[in-house]
Amino acid sequence: MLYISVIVPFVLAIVLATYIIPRILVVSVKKDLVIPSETKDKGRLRVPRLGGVSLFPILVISVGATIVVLLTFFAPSFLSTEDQTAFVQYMFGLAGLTTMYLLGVMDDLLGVSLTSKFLIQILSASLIPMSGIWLDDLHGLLGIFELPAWIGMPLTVLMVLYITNAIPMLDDVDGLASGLAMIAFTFLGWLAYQGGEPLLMTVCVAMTGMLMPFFFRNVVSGRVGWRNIYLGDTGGLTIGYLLSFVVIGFSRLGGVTLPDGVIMACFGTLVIPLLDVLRVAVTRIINHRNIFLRDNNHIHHRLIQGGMRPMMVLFTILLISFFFVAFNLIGVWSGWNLSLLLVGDVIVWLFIQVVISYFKNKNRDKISNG
Amino acid sequence: MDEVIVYSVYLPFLLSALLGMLFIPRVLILSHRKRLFDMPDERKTHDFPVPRLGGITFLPILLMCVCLVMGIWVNKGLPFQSLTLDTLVIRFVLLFVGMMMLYLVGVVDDLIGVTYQAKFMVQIACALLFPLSGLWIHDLSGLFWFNEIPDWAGILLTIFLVVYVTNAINLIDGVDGLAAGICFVALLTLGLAAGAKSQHLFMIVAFGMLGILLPFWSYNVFGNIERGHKIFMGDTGSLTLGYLVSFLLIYMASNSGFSFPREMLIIGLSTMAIPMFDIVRVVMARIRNRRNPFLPDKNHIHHKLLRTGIGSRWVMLILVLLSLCIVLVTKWCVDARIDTTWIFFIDLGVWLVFDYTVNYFIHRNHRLRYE
Repeated sequence: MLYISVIVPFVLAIVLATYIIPRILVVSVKKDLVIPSETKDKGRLRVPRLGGVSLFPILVISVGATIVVLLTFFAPSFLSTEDQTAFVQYMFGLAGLTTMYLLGVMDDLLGVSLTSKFLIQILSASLIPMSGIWLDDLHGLLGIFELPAWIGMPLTVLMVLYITNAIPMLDDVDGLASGLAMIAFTFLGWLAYQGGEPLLMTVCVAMTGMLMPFFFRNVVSGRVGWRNIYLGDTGGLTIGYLLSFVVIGFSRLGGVTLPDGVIMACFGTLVIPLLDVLRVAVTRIINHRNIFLRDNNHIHHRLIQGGMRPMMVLFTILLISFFFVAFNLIGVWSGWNLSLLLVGDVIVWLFIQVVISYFKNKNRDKISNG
Repeated sequence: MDEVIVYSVYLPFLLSALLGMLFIPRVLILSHRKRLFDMPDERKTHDFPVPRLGGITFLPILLMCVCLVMGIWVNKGLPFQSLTLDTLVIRFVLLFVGMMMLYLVGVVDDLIGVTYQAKFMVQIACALLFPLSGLWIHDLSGLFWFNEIPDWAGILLTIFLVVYVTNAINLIDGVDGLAAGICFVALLTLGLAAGAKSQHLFMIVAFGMLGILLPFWSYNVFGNIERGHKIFMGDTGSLTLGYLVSFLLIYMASNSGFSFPREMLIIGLSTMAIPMFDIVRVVMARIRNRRNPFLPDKNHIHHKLLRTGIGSRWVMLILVLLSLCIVLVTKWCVDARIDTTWIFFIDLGVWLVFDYTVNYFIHRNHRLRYE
């Protein structure tokens, strides 16, 4: 049963994504759906940003097929022990995901105003706590244990919004969004297996599978001459919503089938985008600029300014991400104090920022000195 | 008011109608800005470029609506009639997996076109999903004097019916509001039939879809072409609608639908009578004229009605009323305890009378024009 619930979604997702990506490219080139050049960084080809449109349909098909196979041929008790809550959770999650998908498609094709974007995001984020699952226990992170519902529910919504809006910024370097998401989903899938949540594991495995062809195409296309494709806002929103859905699903298992503070282990997969978005927002506020306007201050921009080629940037960030995942995993599993772990993360991350700044300044000096 | 009725009829209906009203104008803006039009050609009956992406709203809205309502339903602890959660999940998931596959093909078809071979392949693959999950026609309830039928026959018949109904709705979609109107009648009938038997999942899906069809239909029929308010459902819409209707029909005839009275199946089938009879006539005519039965032409029932000289809105109205009429005749015959096979022939008779009347008016129109 375990093999089925890993292999079926994985293979199905890879096959479907490999099949669908060229079709999206054909449609977007024929119908001229590549994004207008003024919103893009200079010096890049006009690349379709509709890759993320395929994620949600592939997810529905591959996970749906797996559920049906399992329910038909194996134990009917595939839904976890507390049937009712889990069922409501998945239903509401699916509804929220559909909302995010529609929002993303509209945003990629037309552009949606910030106000309505946030409004819709808040609506679909609040579906998660409404289904009966929210962060009700931080297990001692920052000295906080049990959380009452009136704090836990808004906190959950805030967390979903934070993660969802942090992912799209990764889309500026080839393969970064898909690569980071793949690492995150692989790790979360393993956690789901440890925690005894077969359905969440199927979701994670399917996401990893369908992101692989994207990653491959992003990395290879520059050399082979294939047309590239980006995940776009749809992809970012879908991935972000799913990540937060899975993470919040795990928070319930902390102390039950998984060690206390499993949420910090999940945090490890997202350290880079989350902290980077925070840093960028703070910089923008200090400089009295609009926080929502794009600029060239994200970690990958800084690495490029430090003299790295985009491919090196990709692998550097993925390596740092691996390090954080491993660090937090070890920390949580050996029962370190969660607050200290968080402080450790931030210190390591600050150190990395200092190193990047050093190389950036050196490179700038080199350029200005000729 | 009965709580169950509120949550299985009004809530899905209002929710999806609201979402449809919010979403369809956005799709209009999107298609006009990105120039995703259906360019007028010889076979179509309109002159201005009209977006044909209305169908892309159906599946996401239905998904959101059904998920939310079912979540609320389970959350409130309301009972699901004679269904365990597992059976419920399996049916529900399969429906949406198949619809999603057709949706993808439909979107590509609406945007750049797909060959009919590819479309057929996907339709058959989607049709196979039903028997794979144990949902196939077990009982013809007296149609052609068949009752219980063996599994292999039921499975083949299921696949055939899904492909048949899906294509029938796809082909009838040639006049504004026609496919949506006929499906409206069909879903309303099926939903009411399910309501009589408290099949709640069935009702949620049927009334959710009705809710989307309402705003779509008003944009489709009353939208002003010159101001860019008109929209077509396109292949995405007709394929997903057809799949949904065939799911509901097969559900009625399957083992798990035993709580439906046996006569219900013929009422369900009669809602699809016009497109299903028409496709047979068209294919026969094409074969008689030695043409490829899969290539489009202008011989469908709505084309014939247009040739009698009436406006397209009247064509839609007449055909929807005829559909309603056939459903009512069937209902009346069922109440009168007439044998199912004879009911089928009565429906066929009604349709033949209608077809010959149309032929008469076409000839008269030609005579009037050339004299």
